[in-house]
Amino acid sequence: MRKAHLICFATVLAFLLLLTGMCFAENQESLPYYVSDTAGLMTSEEWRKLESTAENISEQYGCGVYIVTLQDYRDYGSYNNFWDFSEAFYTRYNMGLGEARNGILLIMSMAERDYSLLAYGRDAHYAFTDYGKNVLENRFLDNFMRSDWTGGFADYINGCGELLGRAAAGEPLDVSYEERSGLPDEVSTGIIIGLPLLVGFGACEGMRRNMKPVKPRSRADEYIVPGGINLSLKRDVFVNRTVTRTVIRTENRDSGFHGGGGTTVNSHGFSGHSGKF
Amino acid sequence: MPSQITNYQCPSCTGPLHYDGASGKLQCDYCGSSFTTAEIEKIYQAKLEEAEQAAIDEATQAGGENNAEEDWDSEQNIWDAKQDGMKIYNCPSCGAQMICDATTAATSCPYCGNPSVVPGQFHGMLKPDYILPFRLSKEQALDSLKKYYQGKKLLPKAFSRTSHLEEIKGVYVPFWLFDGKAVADTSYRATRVMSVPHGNEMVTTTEYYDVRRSGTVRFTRIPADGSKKMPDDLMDSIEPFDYTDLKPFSTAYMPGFLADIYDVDDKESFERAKTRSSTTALEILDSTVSGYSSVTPRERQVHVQRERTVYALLPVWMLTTRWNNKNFIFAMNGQTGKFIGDLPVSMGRYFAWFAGIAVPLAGILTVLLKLM
Repeated sequence: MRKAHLICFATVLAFLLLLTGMCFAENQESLPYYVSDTAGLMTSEEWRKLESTAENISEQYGCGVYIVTLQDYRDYGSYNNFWDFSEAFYTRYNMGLGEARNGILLIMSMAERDYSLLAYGRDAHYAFTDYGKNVLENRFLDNFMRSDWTGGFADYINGCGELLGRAAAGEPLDVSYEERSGLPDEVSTGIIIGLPLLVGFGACEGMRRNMKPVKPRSRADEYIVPGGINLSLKRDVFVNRTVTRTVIRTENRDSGFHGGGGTTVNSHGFSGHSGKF
Repeated sequence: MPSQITNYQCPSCTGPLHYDGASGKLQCDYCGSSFTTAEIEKIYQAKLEEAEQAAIDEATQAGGENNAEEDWDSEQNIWDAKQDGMKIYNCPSCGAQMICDATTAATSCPYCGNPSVVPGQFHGMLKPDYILPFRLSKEQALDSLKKYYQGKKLLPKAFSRTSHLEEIKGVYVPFWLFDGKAVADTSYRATRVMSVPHGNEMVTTTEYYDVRRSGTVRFTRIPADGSKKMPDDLMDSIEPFDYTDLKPFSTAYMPGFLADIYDVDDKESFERAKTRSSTTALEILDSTVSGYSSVTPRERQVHVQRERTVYALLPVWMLTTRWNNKNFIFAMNGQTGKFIGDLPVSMGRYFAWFAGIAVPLAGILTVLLKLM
């Protein structure tokens, strides 16, 4: 019975989304829920629980925490990629809370296992730094790999709560010094100690060599007779050719985390990235 | 018995003459007169021939029975000197006995200071073909030494202040100048790698080539000193000499300087020239192999053919300083002024510079890594 209800709910939601998708760019509507599972990945009980948690967190911090699952985003129009669709979706459904439309959205398209994690609004960017989003992502992606959808969504919502809590306390999760430099402690220490020693030693050895310039000569360049070089044979024979093919590993999933601190916001006001799960 | 030694005296006042590199003439220390080498050669021709004959006579005598009378007349130390391969000459000016190396060809009397030449040392095969006269003076050599100390960051502070010049001498060093050609034949394995993306693949094509190069490189007048007394690396380091100033050999360029005849023959010295020309010939062939991603030499053969050999005396200022009970030898090219010599290193300064570079750099890196 529950399953039937859920299928019915998902179908209606998908129909509504499809219907609105036809005039995506023209109208702006609001989604009625923080968690919209049109792909039917969770039971209604699970949905209710997640929706309730997402709602509480969103209202507590004034920043919408959204989950949207779709069967195939291409059903909603023609987009260059999933990220463009995700941005358009957020704008189209007027997501986010407050005047700044602060919010974070995890949107998934099951057809090709695409996902986007995007944030919008000043407060959301403050709370969800590039590094923070990367940490958050690592929490739910392992669940998704095991097709543990509800576990992944729960981790996502709870993670959002933690990040928003930290931001509210004035300490958003961001890269530490070691992570910013992209180098582990030992490497940083090695560079700070090793490189100066190496440069100092190289420079001093150069100066020391300058003090001992007496060397036997090994060449006789200056005694070559003008025009005295005669190259009698210059032969380059092709022997064989080998061809190797290697697959170019393309990383579709842009981790979005580039080592620096803070949040990278694009020209549309979004931060985040898309990838595959 | 005629003397084997000649000292060039001023035709005007009989004062000692010395060769002046700047003017290219022989000058009298007393009356200031100057004479060209040709003039002096003309005046002293007979004396030189006489001295040369005396040397030949002595050599002939030495080849026969020992002159018992001379042995008994000589003092024990002179006998010892002869045994050690030294030679004894009488100074034609003051008559004092001078004990010289067997290779000494020009020197000055330690008693009266008159420059003396031993023309007999240059007879037969020992006569150089050319001489490159000194162009730079003792004062210029001293100046160069002072300048040489400047800018040497690791030189102990006390060195330039407390080291004292033990000796400065202008020496005509015997050099062999070799003409020849190096015939080289080399082969290489070379690769050319091209990578082109094709769809989602990177297609890497590696082409292998068998490369061969042969050629000859002609060399002229590669110098190698023929004196055991002179450190080879020091003599190499003051190269090159400008051979356009080479003059046909004459002892008239020698007064005021020391000169040695060779004691390393051309055959032995040629090995050094051979190594140098081989290295250069191979490097020239290597440089013609280009346009490849990698080149690995396989076979390398060089045959150096010796052609003409010239024996010349080249001018070198030798300076010796002493510091902390150690001798430091410097050499200056007497023609071009190229000055060289190893200097002591102050370990205190070494570590001060080391710290001066490493510590601020560590500070900068710490700040930079924090900012990153």
